[in-house]
Amino acid sequence: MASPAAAVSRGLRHLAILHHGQPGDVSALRGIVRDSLDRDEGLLVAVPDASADRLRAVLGTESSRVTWMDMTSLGRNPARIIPAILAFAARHQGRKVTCINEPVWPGRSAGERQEAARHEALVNLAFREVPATIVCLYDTTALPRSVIADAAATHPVILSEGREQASTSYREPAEPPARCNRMLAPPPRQSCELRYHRDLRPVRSFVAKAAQQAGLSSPRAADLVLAISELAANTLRHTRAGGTLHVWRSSGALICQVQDTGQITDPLAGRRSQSADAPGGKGLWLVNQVCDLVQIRTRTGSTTIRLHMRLAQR
Amino acid sequence: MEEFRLSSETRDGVAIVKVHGYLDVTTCGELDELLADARRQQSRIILDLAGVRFMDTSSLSVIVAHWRKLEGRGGRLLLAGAQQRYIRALWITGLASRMSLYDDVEEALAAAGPPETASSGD
Repeated sequence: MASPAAAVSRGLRHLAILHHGQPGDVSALRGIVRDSLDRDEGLLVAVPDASADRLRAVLGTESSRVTWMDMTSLGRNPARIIPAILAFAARHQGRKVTCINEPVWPGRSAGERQEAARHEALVNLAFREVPATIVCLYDTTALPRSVIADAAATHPVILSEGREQASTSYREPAEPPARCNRMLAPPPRQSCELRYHRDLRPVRSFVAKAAQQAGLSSPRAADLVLAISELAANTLRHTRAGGTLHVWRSSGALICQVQDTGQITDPLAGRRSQSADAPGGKGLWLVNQVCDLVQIRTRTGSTTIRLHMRLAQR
Repeated sequence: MEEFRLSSETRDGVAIVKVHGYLDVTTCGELDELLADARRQQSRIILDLAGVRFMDTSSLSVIVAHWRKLEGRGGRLLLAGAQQRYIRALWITGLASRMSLYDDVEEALAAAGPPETASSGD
C-alpha cells in the first residue's frame, strides 16, 4: 500500500486514524493488521481494555499472534510509550514492526493530554530510522477538539472518513504543539519547600516523609524517593547552584517538583530504549518508568520537572 | 542520617567488597575506586549489598561497568544480600535478572567456586 508517509520519513509510517468510537469498523485498520500478519511482522496493540475488546472481536483467531498491552498502564505516563515500542522493535531485530495504539483515551487529564501530544511529536524523531508503522487511534466522538487538532499537528498522515491524506498542519521537524511547553502554574502556597546543594540525604528523607503522610504504598514511596533523588543528582552533576524541591498534594496525587539552573537539550532524554546493561543515562528513563506523569519544562538556565504519583482512591 | 561506609577483604581468592548505607552520585566514586582496586587483585568479586538502604542509577552504572570488565576477562561479579525494597533501581532496570544475585556472602562464596590458584586464603 503506497502511503504519503513513506516520502516523509525513511523508517517510520506514523498515521492517525480518526474514528467514531468503533475503531474495528475502520477498513484501513483491518488492512494494516492483515498486512502485518501476512508478512509475519511484529504486531503490538497497546490500547485501553475497552478498545482491546472491540479490536479482538475484529481480529478473531488472529488475536493470539498479537502482543497486547494495556495502554492505561503502559501509557499512564506517556513518556513510557516510546521506550516500550523501541524495546518491542529491538526484540524483532531486522523485521518491521507495527504498533496500533491509543495514547489519548477519553478521560485523560489535561496535563496527561499535553504530555501525550508531546509524545506523539517525539515519535517522529525517535523512530526516524526504525522500520515501523505506528497507528494512533483517536475517538472523535469522545475526545476534545484540541486533542484532534494536536493529532493533526503531530502526524504526517491522517486517515479520516475512509480517506488517507497528508496532514496540512504537520511540519518537519515535528515540534510538540505550543501548548505543551506552556509554563506550569507555580506550586501552591501550601507546598513544602527544600533547597539542596551537596547532600541528597535530606532530599530523600523529605520525600519519604511526604509520601508516607500522603499514604503512598511503601514500594511506590520508595520509587518516588528514588525518582526525586535521580533528578536532584542531575542537579548536582550539571549545575553549581543547587536546586529547589517542592512537594504538595493535589486532586488525588502527590506532586514533587525539582527546579534547577540546568537545561535538558535532548528532546528524547529518558525515552530511549534501555538495553539493561548499558551504563549511564538511566536517571530520566527510570523516573519515567515509576511516575504516573512527568512534566518537564526546560530552557536556557532553567529546568523544572514535576512528578505525579496517584494516590489510591478512598 | 544514613551513614556511608565501605570495606573490603579477601577470602579464598575472592575479593569481598561490603557497602553500608547509601549509594548515590556523592558516594559512588569511592565504590568505583574500591572495585577498581579489587579488580587489580582478584578476578572474582563479591559485592555485599546487605547493608545498603538506597542505590541510584549512577551507582548502578559503576557496578555494571566493573561487572562487564570482569566478565570480559573471564572473571565474575556476584551480588550478595541485595534487597528489592531498598535497591529498587536494580529491579526496575531489569538488571536483577541478568546479574548473579545471592542471599548472602556465604552463598555467593559457594557459587564463586574453589580458589583458582594453590593459595587457600589465610
